[in-house]
Amino acid sequence: MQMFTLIAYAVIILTAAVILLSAFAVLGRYLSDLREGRIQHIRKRMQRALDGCLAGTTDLQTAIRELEGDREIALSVLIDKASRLSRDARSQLRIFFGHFQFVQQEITALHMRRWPMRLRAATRLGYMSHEIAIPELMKSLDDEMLDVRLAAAHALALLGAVQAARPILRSLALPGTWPLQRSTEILYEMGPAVIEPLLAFLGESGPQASDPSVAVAVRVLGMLRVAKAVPQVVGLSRSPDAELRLCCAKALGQMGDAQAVDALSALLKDAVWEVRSAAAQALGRLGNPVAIPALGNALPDPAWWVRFNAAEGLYQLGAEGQVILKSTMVSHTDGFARDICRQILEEHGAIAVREALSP
Amino acid sequence: MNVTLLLSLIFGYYVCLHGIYFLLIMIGTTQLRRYHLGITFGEFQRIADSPLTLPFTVIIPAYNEEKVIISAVLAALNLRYPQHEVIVVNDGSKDETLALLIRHFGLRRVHKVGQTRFKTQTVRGIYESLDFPKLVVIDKANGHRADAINAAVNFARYPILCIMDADCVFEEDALLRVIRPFLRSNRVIAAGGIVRPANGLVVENGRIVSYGLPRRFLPLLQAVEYLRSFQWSRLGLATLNSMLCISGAFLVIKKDTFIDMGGVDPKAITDDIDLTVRLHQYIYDHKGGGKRFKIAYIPDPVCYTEVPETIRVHAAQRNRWQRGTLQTLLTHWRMTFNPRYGITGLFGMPYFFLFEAFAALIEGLSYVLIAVVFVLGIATWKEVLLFIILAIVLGTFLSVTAVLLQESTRLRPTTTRDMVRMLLAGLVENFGYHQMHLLWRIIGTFDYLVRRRKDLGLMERYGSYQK
Repeated sequence: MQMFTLIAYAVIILTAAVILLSAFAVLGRYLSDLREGRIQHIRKRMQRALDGCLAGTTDLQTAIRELEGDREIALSVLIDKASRLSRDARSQLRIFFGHFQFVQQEITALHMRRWPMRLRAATRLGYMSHEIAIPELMKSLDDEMLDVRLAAAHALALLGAVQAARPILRSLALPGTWPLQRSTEILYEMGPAVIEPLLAFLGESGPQASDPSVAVAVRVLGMLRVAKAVPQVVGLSRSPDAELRLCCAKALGQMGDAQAVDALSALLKDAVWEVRSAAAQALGRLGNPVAIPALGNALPDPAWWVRFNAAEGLYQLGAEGQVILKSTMVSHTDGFARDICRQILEEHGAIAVREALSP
Repeated sequence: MNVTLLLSLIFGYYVCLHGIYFLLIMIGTTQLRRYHLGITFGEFQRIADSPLTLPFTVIIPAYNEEKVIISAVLAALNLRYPQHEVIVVNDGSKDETLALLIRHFGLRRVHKVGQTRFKTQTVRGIYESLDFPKLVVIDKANGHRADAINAAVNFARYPILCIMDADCVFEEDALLRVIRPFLRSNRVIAAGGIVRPANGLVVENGRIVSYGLPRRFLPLLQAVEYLRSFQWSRLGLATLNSMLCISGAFLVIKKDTFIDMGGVDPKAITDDIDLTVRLHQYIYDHKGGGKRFKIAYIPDPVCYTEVPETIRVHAAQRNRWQRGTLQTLLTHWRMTFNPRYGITGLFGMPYFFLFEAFAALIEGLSYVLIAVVFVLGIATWKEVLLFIILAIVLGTFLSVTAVLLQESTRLRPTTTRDMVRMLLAGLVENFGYHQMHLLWRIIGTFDYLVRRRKDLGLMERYGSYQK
């Protein structure tokens, strides 16, 4: 019982402390609201000065004087502004980041022990448009924290550092959705300049490659619609790696080259339904009537998504495809094939809906 | 039995209950800090802009929801996300729910092929809109919420399902936040998030235009309770793989996993608790590539749900939750203290049995007992005081701490006045409201164990947050 009495004393003291703390918290909140108001006011003035400088209505020195008021707020305003501008427009802010030595400050932060600091520094450096940061960011691609590596890669993409394409593939294309998706997005953000390094990378990888980095390169080339990559991607579509075959199917659809029809038709017979589904969707995108028989054969597929994409693809192929859909809807022996054709034709308004319009 | 021993057991129970709660709150605070540190500038914008982001199917089961359905559907359609569809299931409503949907969204009946993985009550029709291509409405015969969810999954196109209640409103970027753990790890199979009371918000065309606390006292007390329970304690439990209740108001799950688990059990009184416990079971029974799957709990995609404004509805809701908890835990009792289920079996299940399912009974009995022994002169006033401190004051300490900790998050009350109201509510929550809550749960325990009651009970919507 004595122990409980001691605990009770502790509870009373703690509760009293918390109540006292609450009073301080309310006061703190009131003061922080006031401070927040002041910060917002300064931010608005800085933003106005910055906008004026970018538009040519305020001179540079006036804008710098305004930003000198509070370095921390100035950095936040500059990063916020930079994140809203295109790469070319962003370079106009270089002078500010340089003047306040923010670049040097963040490069130093890249080497700090605490990873959130490194993460923040890598993120910010991308918006500062200073090539001086590129070598340091390249080193950060080997950081022990994946998040820091991703932030550094994104910063390199923002800086247009095409030489980083291969190191990014090496350090980020790891198994798992997140690194693969992020590295794909990052390389895509580099734009057409990344095409040649990626083609060279695929050329060196060979047709039997199954590295996640090859899948990333294929996805990026697809998203950039690089038609000259089709022969290489067709070769890779026979890979034993299902994930790579899936990426190839998606990329071939995006590249929009008729050379891919045969490879995609072959992928419609793949053992993995996701690959078949992507192939059906890609054939629909290509819009080549040569694909009609293959898509027609995919209508009774056991996987709903394959049936759906095949039917949707046939519809997109125009009158010829719709004829197949209508005939399948009426006379196919497979009930699922008939149903999916009806659904697609009804959804597009090609046939009347059977039921009444109200419940 | 020795009275001192009995009192020691009671005091020990309260110290354990509140001690664990305090630890969970502390773990939750650390987790929240880590979570915020990991988010980079513009991360959610990048997810929103990416053509590679996984698409979502948002499922809204609706039974007699005419007061809130339009707002809920608009909120779901307005969610900022690159690709998502919204499936509303009219679960045999007796009111104007379906007619309202047809009128407001210009729905037309279509032929749609489902994947018919789950057997459900008869689907009477499928509706789509030319103006809102993301929206699908399924009209089916009544079969409870779980049956409606299963029916929606039969028609869901996308790989991630987000199940929400019709009285819920999401923050606009909730899906962007909730998809993050799925993108970061292939092992995440389900996720839950914070649920807060919608009473006090102003919602216009499905968008939250103003935040505020509930004006009435009962919902305000529930706001403190939700804060302590959802924001802090559940975050702590999730870290320990012991979060056995992802709220059905906001549950995200991979479609493959959902199908593999056999969907939601239509016989469950509270299908969300049942699904969460089965998810934990699934995680230990299925190892993905040698590594265990995970359930993520995200501390900031906020979903707002209407909480009861009257004692009658509050009593019915808590009664149902209590019966649902008991039903689920008793059904899966084999997981308790079973090392096969790791920390979930060794800590989560016993914790839920002792401090959730039977807490009301134990606490209720302790109140009666302390009164009896005091009246009989067996216990001294000092021991009664000790009881009050450990049972009530300690609870107050936790509630006020939860409100204070909230100040360090982006979800803090918008004004100083609201903060003061929350603190005051935290101070008084344990004096009266908590005991009333215990009573509803004791009645729920009696209803389930003795009367074998399994219906869903009274539910009422107000739609008070809609402008």
